[in-house]
Amino acid sequence: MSNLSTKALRVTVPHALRSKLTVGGQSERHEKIKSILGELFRHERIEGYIRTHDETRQYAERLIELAKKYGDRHVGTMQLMDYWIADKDLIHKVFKVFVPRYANTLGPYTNAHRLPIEYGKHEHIFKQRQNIVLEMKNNPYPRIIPDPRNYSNILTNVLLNEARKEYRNEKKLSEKTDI
Amino acid sequence: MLANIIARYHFLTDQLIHYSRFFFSSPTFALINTSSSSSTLISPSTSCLPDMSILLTQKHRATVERRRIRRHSDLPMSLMSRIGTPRQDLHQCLECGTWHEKKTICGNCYDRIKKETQSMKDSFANKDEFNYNHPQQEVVYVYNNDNKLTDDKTKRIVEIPRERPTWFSKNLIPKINTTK
Repeated sequence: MSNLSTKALRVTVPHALRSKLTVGGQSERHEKIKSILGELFRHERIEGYIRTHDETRQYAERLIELAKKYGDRHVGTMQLMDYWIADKDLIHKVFKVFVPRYANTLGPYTNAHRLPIEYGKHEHIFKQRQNIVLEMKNNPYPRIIPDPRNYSNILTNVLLNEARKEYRNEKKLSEKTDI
Repeated sequence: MLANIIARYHFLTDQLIHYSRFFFSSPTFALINTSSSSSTLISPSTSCLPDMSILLTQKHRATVERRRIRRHSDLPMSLMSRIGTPRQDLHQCLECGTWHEKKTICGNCYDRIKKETQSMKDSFANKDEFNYNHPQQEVVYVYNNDNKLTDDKTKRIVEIPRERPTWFSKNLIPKINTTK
């Protein structure tokens, strides 16, 4: 596996303590990541605790990056897929759905947004539990961040456009007179 | 015995002074040397009492606000700055106008999206296929008022017997800059 390499991942690496993911040792940590990975690849939009899900995000990115680079005829890649993806029908999905979908996209293939905090729901009242929603990009579900707005008809933008036009016209006229 | 107690007392006062720097970072408390003010007539004899050379007293008068907070709040003053102060990092959602924290997404808008997503998932009829033998094509959800797609093998078409919501745009990947 040492010969496998990808570009630097374009996701934020969480520097928080990884205590939530190392409760039962490394094997338990791997089991947890595997379960979240399977959920993410199957449903394409999941919610959960920020520590675990932000960690898992990097694994998903790396797996898709490797699948794009090496394809499904590569031994090391398939070993990694076999290890990290517990449900074997999802390995097919990675190569047949995600690789063509992200063939032209560069950079992160997942989105993560922080959900509103529910105060007082945690067992310790003054502590807050930050959950996030993690999703694959270009999924068929409605967008979480609303569609970009059209700000061109706001008064300041209209005035700025007019000023820009005037400036360009004046510049053209001055060039003509100089010649 | 007495010497032992006095030594213990000195140790405790030293510790108190040492840690008071952390509790009261602002210089509201000062150190008074009572032994130096021996010129006063009513001064206790040093033999019967332990040497109270150092005491903590208030240097500045606390403001009215601070006194009232201390008197009426349930929280201790150490927690007031973290929990008892009004929040400044709240934003108003541009879509629906509800308030949410700066770093999070709007909860009211997300509820609507979550319900729609769940109903789209529910409209996938074969649950066993979804959970154990996932379709190996792109899943496309088609509403009643959408254009009918040709049934080729590259896409898995799921029909939803409803009309597309007005807020759910058909173009899922719009250009980022729409002002031009």
